[in-house]
Amino acid sequence: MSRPVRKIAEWIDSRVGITNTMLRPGPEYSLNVFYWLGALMVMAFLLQGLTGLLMLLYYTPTVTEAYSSTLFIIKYVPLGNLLETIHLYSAYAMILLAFMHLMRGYFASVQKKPREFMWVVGMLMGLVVLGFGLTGYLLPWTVVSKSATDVTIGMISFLPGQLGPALKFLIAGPGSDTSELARFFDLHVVLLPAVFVVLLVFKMYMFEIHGAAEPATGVKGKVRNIPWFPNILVYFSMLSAIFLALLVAVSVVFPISLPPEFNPATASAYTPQPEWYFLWVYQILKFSVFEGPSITAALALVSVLLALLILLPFLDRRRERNPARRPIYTTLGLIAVVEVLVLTVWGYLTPGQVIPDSDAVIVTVGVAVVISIMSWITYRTREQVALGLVRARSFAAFMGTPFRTPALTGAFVILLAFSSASFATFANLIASPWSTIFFSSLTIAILSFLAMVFVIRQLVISRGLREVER
Amino acid sequence: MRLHEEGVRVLLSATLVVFLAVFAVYSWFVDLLSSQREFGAVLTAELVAFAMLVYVSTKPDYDAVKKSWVLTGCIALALFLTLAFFFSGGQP
Amino acid sequence: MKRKGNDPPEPSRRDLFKILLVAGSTFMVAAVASVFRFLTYIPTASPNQPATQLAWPRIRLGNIDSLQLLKPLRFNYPLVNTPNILVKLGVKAENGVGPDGDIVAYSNICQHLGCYFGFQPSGSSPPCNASFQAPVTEGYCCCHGGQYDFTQGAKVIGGPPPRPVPSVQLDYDSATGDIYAVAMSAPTIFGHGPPGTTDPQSVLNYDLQGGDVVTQQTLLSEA
Repeated sequence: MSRPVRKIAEWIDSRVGITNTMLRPGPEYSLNVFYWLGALMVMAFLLQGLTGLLMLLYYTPTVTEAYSSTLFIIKYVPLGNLLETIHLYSAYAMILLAFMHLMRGYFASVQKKPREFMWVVGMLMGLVVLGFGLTGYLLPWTVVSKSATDVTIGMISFLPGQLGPALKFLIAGPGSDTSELARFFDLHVVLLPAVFVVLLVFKMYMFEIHGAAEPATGVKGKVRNIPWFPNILVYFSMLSAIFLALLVAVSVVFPISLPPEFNPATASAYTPQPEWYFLWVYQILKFSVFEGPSITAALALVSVLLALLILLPFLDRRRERNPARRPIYTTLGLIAVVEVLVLTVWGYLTPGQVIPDSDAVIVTVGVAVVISIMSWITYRTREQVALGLVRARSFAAFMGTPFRTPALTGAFVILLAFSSASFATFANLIASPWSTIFFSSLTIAILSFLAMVFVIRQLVISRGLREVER
Repeated sequence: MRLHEEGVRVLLSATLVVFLAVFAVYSWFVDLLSSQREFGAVLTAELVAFAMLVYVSTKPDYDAVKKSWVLTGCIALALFLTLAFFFSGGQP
Repeated sequence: MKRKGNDPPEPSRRDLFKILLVAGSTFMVAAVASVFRFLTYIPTASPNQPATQLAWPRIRLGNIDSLQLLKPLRFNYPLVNTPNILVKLGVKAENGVGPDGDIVAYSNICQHLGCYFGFQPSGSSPPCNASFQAPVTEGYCCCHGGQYDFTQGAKVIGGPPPRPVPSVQLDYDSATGDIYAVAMSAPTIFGHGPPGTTDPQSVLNYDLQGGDVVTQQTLLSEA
């Protein structure tokens, strides 16, 4: 920096002290995109705030004018269409980033001491992000969004005991559409942002105390610290520029078009589906075993799983972080991720249909069984490579192959998407249970095989294990 | 004739800065009501060019710059400038 | 010596790249800042055009002269099998229209299980429960004793209904004295089945499938 600029910076810094806290040097291993998913989420949140506030100048949150004011923004307000589209896709990006951030944290076991509370606060922030999605989706008052919201509120009202009706009253009021829209608007614009910011400040504070977590496979030798200015700043500017570019690019290529307004005539012709990020829960509720009064059991199940995930740091007390040495933990995580993916696609393909028990069991248990088998094979092979029992250039090297080039990574992603879709289709379309089991096992085998390799190699920086393979 | 490697980097960075300047000015004169998609495409190109500039100019030397990223960036730039032209209805 | 990936460039080039980077950043920020031109535009059409009203049928219910004090009239809106009650209350009421602000219309389908309830002026007794006296002007449902206070926006003041009945938005034309139904304020019309249903198996919430939208006046007097 030139002298006068440096002098001013030092003058400010001696009073604010920011270069000792937020802007202090960071470890070299943190210049990796997976360490910045949370920061990208904050960028997305700020973008949401900006686009949302600009649209707020023209939006009216009443039942009679919600749709017409949204339509007005899209048609007559300058940049309105682009703002609305960016707001929508940025919301999707935030939810996807939250999921990736969670997966990275889970598989790299960052929730060990001393970061347990960061995990809990992070999970609460994830729930707030889902809340943003839920409350924001209703505001345009289209037949798609209002029907979807009603389905979701119906789901909430069936939570066990008094929790369901109480939560439903809290977020939707006494039941009239007017109170529902008013409360959702209040939640989306005032209450949830406030809660999010408070939780964010808390999490950032803890991050400053503990710093970025080391890679789960450990570090070799001394860790170099990289100065915040310019290195870390430069890296993050690059990441945010690419993120924003992707977001605006998608908004330009796929601009939003509003479905018809919600009124009795349009609502009667439409089968409601929740938004894609709730489809997996909705799919579980569509299993015929949970029909009627048993719907409470389904929601209790989902709530218990969520509670277990939130309390994970206190349930998982082992010190070990390296996923190569945590086969059961990693496998459980993989099963959960693939189940959610499969249930989401399956839910999208079966709107409004009740799922027979046989299909439900085949899909959920089948996924778990096949992934467990593949996981066992993977871990055994790695063990054998490490022990020198298997030549590194053979099967173990093959397992690393799909991700050595971008083309094969792309092929893997496409295969993943195709497998999920075809698997869900097979479970419904093929009548004979034996062929269903065969096809579904084959697809899930390919799916989980590659997912296993992907996770162990990519989500965790595993230099140590790659060296063994050379 | 082999160009000096650092010279290539300087040339690339300078070109990107010129590009950024031209389209920054342009974005202030686009009609925000009728040409929203064009504006968005120009903004995307700006952001991609900025990311490329940061990447190219902050590496220690020419060899540390991965050419595949530069190529990807150039393709993205070309794509979005073409889209911007397409959205403007063919009028420059 | 090979420099590591995060080291800064050679000193001779460092300043040049720094200048280029600063210049580039400024232009990029300027481009993004052009978004704020949004604030200086004046939209060409007037905001909040009520396109909503076109989606709801505008049905003439009748003239104010045909309304007698505390005599309810039943009409179907917005679908042919969703009955509502139109009544002149005599006191200024929430959602009321007309010169005295006392003409209201509410859905006639009880929000509990879908029975069609009756209208009881204050002090009168419903036919199914002769010993009960209505404390206010209300809708009283004979199926399970649900009570909706018609002077306070059909607020539930007794019985099992979980929420008020939706109100019909009325438009009073002061020049001609005509009353129009123009929208429902909260189309939470509980399970509409065949007319006259008292079927407790009615489907919960928002099941408006199979109904035709009303296109003309269907005013009937309450027996």
